Amino acid sequence: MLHRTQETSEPLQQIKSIPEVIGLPSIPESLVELSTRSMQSLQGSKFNPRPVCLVEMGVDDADSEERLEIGGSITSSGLKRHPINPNKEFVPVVACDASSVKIGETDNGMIFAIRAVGVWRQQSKILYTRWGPLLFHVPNSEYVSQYVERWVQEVLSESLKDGILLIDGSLTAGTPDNPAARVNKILATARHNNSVVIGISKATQLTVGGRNILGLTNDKDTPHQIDISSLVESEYPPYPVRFLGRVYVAKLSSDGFLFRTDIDRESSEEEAQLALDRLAGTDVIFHGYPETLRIAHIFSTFTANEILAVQRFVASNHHITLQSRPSLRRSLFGPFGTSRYVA
Amino acid sequence: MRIYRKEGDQVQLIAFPDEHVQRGDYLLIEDPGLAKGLLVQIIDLQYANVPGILEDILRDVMTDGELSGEDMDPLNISSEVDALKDTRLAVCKIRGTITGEKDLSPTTSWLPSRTSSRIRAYPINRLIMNGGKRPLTVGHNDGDPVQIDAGGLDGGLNIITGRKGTGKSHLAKLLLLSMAGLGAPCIVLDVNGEYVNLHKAKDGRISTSRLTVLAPRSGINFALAKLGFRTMAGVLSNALDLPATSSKVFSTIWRDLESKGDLTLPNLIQTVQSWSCHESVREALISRLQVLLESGLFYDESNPLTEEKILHAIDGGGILVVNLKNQSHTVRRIIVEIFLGELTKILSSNWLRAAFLFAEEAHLYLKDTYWDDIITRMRHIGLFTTFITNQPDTVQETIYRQADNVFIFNFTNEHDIETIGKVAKSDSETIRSLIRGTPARRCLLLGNVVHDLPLMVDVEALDVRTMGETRLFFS
Repeated sequence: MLHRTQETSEPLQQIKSIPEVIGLPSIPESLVELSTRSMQSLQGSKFNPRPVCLVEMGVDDADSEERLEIGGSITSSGLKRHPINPNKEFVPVVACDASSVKIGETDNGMIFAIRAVGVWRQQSKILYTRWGPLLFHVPNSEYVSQYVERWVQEVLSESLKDGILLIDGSLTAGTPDNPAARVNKILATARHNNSVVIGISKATQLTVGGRNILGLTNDKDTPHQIDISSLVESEYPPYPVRFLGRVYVAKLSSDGFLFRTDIDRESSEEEAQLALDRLAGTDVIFHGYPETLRIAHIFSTFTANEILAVQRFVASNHHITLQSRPSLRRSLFGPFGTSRYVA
Repeated sequence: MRIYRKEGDQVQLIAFPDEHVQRGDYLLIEDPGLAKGLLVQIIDLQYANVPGILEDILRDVMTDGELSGEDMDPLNISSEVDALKDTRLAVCKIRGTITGEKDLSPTTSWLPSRTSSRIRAYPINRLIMNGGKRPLTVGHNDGDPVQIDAGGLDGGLNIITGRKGTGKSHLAKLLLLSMAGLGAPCIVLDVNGEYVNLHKAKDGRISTSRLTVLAPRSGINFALAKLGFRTMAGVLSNALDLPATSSKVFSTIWRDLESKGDLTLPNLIQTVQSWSCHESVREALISRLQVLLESGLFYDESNPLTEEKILHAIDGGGILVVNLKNQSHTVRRIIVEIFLGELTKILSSNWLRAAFLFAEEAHLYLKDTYWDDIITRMRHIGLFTTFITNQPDTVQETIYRQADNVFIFNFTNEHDIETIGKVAKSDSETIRSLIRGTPARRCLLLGNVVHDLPLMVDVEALDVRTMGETRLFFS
């Protein structure tokens, strides 16, 4: 459900429902083939479907962020707050998010469903494109989901002109699953199209002086940002993980939360500031979180009903034997064996 | 379909959208390991409470208004999601156990396997006919014709009820014509004059049905001498509320005139006027006899309607329609009282084995005290009544409890549903669930005719001039 409770001094752009196709490319054939091949390996095997209940939802979709402790305090580090002044000059905002969810286990792996969404705020409408779900029978979902998410970011960075590309998460890269070259390519493509990439993290483990950066300011503060790039860079080794963006702690609306916000480091400080001003002025900021990114998250997340549907699809299309393995935790601990967040 | 759970005498089944099920359907849950099956009936259909459905619907709502877009879904998994959203929970009542030889027993003390049982639609027509020799087609169920054994209507008390315009009279006419076709003597107390053309097809052709229509000054003409003291005393006390003291005087005067062979209504009035009795008694008698005189029911006592004529009209499958249309409440009560008296004489004399009485809106002409009489005394002498009403609370609770067959059409009013729920032939939950939201002409059959297996039936169309439709101004 959409809630728009923020206070605004000027009316926001009216959203109209005009059915329109953005014309983005479909899922690359190679990815579909990879999915098909991996699922074909299932034939005849035994499948233990993931138990689904409402309280488990969101388990696989939780954000994983790098953990980083930065010594000293914000004041002793000489960091300054800069106000964000919402700029009402319209700029296209595109957000993307992807979700992967475990559907069940087999003897030699797991079945994952992956889905990605791009949401496009144009001057008078919001459009979305949803790719998937695609199913993969692989030992681990991390690589494939990163691959799919980056592919969508590539597609959007190529399509967007003179706009802001919002991605879910940071611009940190450099792990085998998340190669820096691919993120660099996305940033470069966006720059070429006169666009700026902003990564917004819902959760972060970045701490300053033992305190999470998202607790740096209080609720009464007006929209502002703090550039903590220098702190992060001085505390963190340059390799293998690379910070491809300036790292900010940003509060995009007065009633909002703080978010770690990464902006393409090739952008100047002024360009980054302008991008934040425009984002705050163009996209509806719900509790400090851009509406387009929120919609992208909602549309990509798998509901319990969808997991059941995928399990039914797998069972009926891949000739597998359903087998429910006993839960070790339940067997050992009875009603105390399943926490709210442990499947 | 899959078994979800069992609770008390209910089983809940999960039905997928491609599985055609509807309220009232019978299903057999066959357990191959035990070589028997549980016969259940769907009494309600609900959406299955699938986890996450709320989130799905909320997300769908977002795209109803402000958002639009496209889905690139190469595996077409969204169709599976839609299927789950439309998955239904079929709430079923257990009706019994079917063993290998297809015999139904009321045993319900076992559980079919949840994993290996097979669930399929079960046609209960054979169970309902149960070898009966007088099939009567009442309609169809999901396209299949439904026949009941007319023997199930024999010797019983029947009720046809439902909201106005749902098809009660239509079913009554169907039963009436079918029973007459099987040779059963039938009498109709017709309040609205809607049975008078029952022998005519819609295009005007005359059918083979033997129909006799009687109305005041059109065949209904009685003579005191032929009716006899007992019937006339009944008319005065039951239809015209004559006090007991006056009844005694009436009895004396009647005997006097009878002994003189001078028993006519004008003579009776004249005699009362000159009889030595208290003025209040005279007044009571005269006022009531005057009503009888003015009713036009005794206009020619030399050529009255007799038991023989009534017998002739109905014997061997005739239908006698007593047209009460446009008659006052009092005249209706007098006519009904006389006819019931005459039928009692006919049946008590064993001139007929039995007769079937169809009584539309009986509360309009039947005194309260008569309900019990009809379902006890008259039933035992062979008068089997079918009450037809759209006001179920006008029928006494005792009638519902003793009814052998009940035919229920749609009701929406809670009070009406509550009243109908007292029928002893089924549990109130079944009745409440099945009759809610049923379309016109669909009827719930309960009782002997369906061997206590509640059955939903779309009542058969009739090619007769029913004259029962409400007259409309804007038509």
